[in-house]
Amino acid sequence: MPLLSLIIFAPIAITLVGAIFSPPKQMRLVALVSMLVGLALTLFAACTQFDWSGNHTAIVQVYGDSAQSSFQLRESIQWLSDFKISYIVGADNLSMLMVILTAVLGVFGVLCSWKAIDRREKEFYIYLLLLQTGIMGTFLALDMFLFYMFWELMLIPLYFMIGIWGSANRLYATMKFVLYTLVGSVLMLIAIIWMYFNNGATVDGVDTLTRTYSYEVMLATQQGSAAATFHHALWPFLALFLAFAIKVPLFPLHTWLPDAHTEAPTAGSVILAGVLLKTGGYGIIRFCLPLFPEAAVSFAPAITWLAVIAIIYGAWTAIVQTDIKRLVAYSSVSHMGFVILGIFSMNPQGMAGAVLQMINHGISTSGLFLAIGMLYERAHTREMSKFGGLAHTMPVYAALMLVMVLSSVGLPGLNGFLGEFTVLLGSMHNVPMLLDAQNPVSFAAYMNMTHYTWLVAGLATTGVIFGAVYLLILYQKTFFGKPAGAHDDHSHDAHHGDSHGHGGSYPDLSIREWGQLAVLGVAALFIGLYPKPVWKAIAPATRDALAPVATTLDKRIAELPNPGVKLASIQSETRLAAK
Amino acid sequence: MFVVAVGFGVFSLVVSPFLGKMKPNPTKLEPYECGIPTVGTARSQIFVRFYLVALLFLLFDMEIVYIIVWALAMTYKANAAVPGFVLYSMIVMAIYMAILLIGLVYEWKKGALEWN
Amino acid sequence: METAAYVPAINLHGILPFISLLAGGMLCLAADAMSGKEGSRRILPVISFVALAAALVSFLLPGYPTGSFLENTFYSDSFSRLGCIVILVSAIATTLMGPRQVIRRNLPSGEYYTLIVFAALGMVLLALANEMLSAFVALEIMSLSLYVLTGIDRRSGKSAEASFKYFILGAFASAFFVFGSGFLFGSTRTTFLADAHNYFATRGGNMPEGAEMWAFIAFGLVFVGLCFKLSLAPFHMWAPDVYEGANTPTTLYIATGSKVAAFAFLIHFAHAFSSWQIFTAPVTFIVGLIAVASMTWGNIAAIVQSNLKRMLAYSSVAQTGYMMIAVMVLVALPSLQAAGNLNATTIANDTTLIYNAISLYLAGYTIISILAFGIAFHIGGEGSMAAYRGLFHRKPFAAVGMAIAMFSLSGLGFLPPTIGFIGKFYLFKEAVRFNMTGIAVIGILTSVIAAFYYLSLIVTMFMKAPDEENGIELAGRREERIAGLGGGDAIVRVMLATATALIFVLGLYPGLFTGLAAKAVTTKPMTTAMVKK
Repeated sequence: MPLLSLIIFAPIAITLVGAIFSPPKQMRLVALVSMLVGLALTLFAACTQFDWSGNHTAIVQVYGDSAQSSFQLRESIQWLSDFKISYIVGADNLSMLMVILTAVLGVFGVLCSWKAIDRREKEFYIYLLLLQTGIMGTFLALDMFLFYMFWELMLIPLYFMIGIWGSANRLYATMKFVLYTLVGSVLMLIAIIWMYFNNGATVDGVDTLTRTYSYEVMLATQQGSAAATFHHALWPFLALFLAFAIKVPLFPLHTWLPDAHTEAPTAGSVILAGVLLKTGGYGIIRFCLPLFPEAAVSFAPAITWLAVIAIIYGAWTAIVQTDIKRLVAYSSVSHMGFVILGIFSMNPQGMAGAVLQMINHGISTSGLFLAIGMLYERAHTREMSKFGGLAHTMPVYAALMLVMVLSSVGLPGLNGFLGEFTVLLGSMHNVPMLLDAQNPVSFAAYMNMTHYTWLVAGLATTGVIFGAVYLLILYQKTFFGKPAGAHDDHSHDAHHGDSHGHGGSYPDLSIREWGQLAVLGVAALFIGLYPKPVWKAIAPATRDALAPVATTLDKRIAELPNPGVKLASIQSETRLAAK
Repeated sequence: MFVVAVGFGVFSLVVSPFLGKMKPNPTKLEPYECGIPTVGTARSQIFVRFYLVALLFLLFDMEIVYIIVWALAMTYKANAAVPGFVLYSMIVMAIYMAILLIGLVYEWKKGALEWN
Repeated sequence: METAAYVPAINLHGILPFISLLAGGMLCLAADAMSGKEGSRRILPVISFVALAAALVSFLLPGYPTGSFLENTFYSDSFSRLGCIVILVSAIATTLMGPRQVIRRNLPSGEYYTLIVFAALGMVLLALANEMLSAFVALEIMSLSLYVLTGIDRRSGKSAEASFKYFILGAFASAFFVFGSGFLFGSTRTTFLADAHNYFATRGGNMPEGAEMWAFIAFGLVFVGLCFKLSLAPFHMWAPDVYEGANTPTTLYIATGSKVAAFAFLIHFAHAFSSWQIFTAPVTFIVGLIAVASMTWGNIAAIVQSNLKRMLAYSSVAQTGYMMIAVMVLVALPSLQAAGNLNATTIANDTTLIYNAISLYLAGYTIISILAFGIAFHIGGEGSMAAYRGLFHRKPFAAVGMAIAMFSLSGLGFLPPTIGFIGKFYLFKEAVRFNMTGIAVIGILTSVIAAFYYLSLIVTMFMKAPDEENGIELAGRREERIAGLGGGDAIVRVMLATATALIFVLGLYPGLFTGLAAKAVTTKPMTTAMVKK
């Protein structure tokens, strides 16, 4: 059974067929069924068909090129044979985790639009399901070209969702979102074409090239030889990294995110924050590190600094926001900075923490956006000053929101703590930076900063503290104090249709609403209290992603001119990584 | 050499308006031809039929040019000696004439040949 | 019979398309002269359609000859043959839109259809031409017909203005073209491109005094003339005005047919020079420069346009710029070969691949243009943006079709892939293959600029409410209603649906098209003769 293809295409197929027959008002039901089918298929695949041990290997053939592959549930069809492009999907632990996250959040994407979307329903749900298809495909595609197609496919539906169902400034936001993302992705296309023509190894000055778009073949070719052609390539790495960094988004490239989040309908925000940003992190772990280890190690210190800036900058900017959604959007910049920080620590803790942080961010930030969406449906405003004392009128909402806020803050016992803590732990032994400090011509060596990974970790830790500041400010202003409407003379907002002039008196959550938050809350609590199964699932992903980098790091360490004091510790770190 | 040539041309063109003395008067500004004073405006209107006739004349004149070439080729002894050449040429010219004829019929029917 | 002895070896199948187009045009004229206004409105579309379809079929028939024919004045290879097919498809699309256009603006149907057919004849001749004078005659047949077609709507001031501009600049371009032909004759003593190719191959290394410069001037002048026809920056100034002023079917015809024809001849022409060693490096640079100028300027200028047809004009400037990337690679092949980067056995294969890329792109561009201009025609309003505000609420199918056209013009590579994306991908792939990554990056970054205005139109159609207040009364609607065409006609709808389907089918299976190209091999490989001085 082509299980993964079903996971990708069955939901959209059901929705398209359903759209022909169902009346517009019932479209949400069709979409819900489609998403549930997708979720059921995903869970079936993950629980019964998938080997989580990470020991699966097989020899695969793509257009006559064979390679050792650790991907399971593979499906391979020759598609555009003129171009040696094929339709290959497959999953390993990393992609399976992401697929599960996507499938779960997809259901919530429909549920949170249940009442919020009251015009052009058919279109909306078709776009939502199309978006789901794009994301699933991005996580599962094993052909670079196919990956690119799915990557672009994610763009179009969200473009329409923000542009049609968004808030006041939606046209600006949606255009900005598309153009930003497009710049990165088109350069990625050129990089992919370059990789097609240059995949191979240089032996005795002669290039032996295997032209392929298959990720598995590329990986095998590039890992098989120390003289692999990608090792000298800097700009294809940068082109790929740019595409992913825009999606993550990393610090100087993040400005589309607050606009897109603020203007998007709730479902758009949930999917955007929950899974779309993860495609960036996923891409870096999947493609940038294993295929271009040399370039990755070389650029790692710079990227790490950008991540630190993102963490602190995102947090500081979030503190001064008055728009709730904007605040959470900037918190995303900060939290996703941790992901980059973890990945480019290039040690097992950092990498595992980064993957967990992606999952955690998916849970807690989508939870926050869901909760904000519920509030917005009632108040039709996102201004923090318009709210107050909600804890009295909406106790259930307040309680569930608290779980989400604390999970996002990183309270021990909830999921957020684990991810951030592990990433920080990893960043203290940021291997490329330690190497950099040993390099006599580096800035770090010049400043005699042998301990500057501690500086990085310390600065990043302040991000956690500031995170607590802005999230608790958010919670305090909206949920405690006096109801804003009680003494506010200026609450003549034209949209206050159902608030009856009282900023604080909204009906509490319905079952549909608190159900969503409860599921996410339970997930947060579960990961926070019993993370073992998640760690076990992440471990093989960490190992696979770090193996090529570890080889490069070992080589670099061996080349060091004067092994310093920290060398022993670096080496132990890389050995850990290589395991 | 090239630069000097182009440079001289450009230089003269640029410099002459600045160096020359300009004292325009009505006689100088008049369009001047053959010493005869200008009569009326240059933009006098001509009946549009004249253009049509001129165009048609031009067309058929051009066609005659082609036919003359064809006729000359027919007179070459070397050509005429080739068996079948005459018949072939006649067929070609018949096609050519047919095309012309259709054009003529078209003009006629459209009323392009009528003065009123 | 002895008469048969003289008759030159005319390949009848080779000239069958010419005959059918010429006969069709003549028949149109005769029929128009014989029947009244209503009668010719009814019968002429049929005649011209049959003539165009007959020509199309004779190109599609497997037995269509390859190689030189008609005393070496024409040369048919897979690329020019596919070009002819694309030209005729665009001509047929123009014809299919004809009946409604004629009614809408009360056009003289006799001239309208006749000129479409004659222009098709000129385009087909130009695409196949392998000799400078035949090419010039073909160019003029095509251009003169198009000038008149542009200005055929005599009641519209814009149409007259467009026609005049097109005529003046087009005549200018033709003059360049014929002047360049003279220089070519001066330097190589021939107007036959095959002979010129041989001349450069055998004597390119030691040409007489001054002849080298003449040959360069010849290429430059003819190239400039063709750039006018292709509306490449900086020779594109006529395009926006003409596209806007001409009636929409003619705009489509100018944007696709004439471009494909000029492009096919450009390839033939460049091939003649490819055997000349010192030629490739500077010309690669110039072609690259023109490509970059067209891509950037076309896309940037398109952003600020407020008329759809003007926007598409600038977009077509950019699209042709993308095709020039492939020409650049093609021109550079011999120098790569000379530098030892390619070997002679693969160069024929490489040439074929690049030809495939160009022909796929041309076909894709034509199909997308048929969809975009077809919908613009269907909507009416001569491209005014007001007609597109909230179009999705009024005409959802037209809006979706236009969105598909815009997405594929922008070359966004989502699933299912469109022909526009596959075409761009193929072009960029060929550029990267020969280490011309720089121009590919420029091309793809300008396509992001392009995405801005293509998506802006989608914003206008999907995300803005229709203007209830300024509900525009589109020109010609009354006449259409009287003729019973109030809701548009079925033929155009079928045509648009087919174009939409083709965009996706050829996107999913580009092999359908490239396979066609590969089967009709015998493209002329861009080889250089390794003549030692």
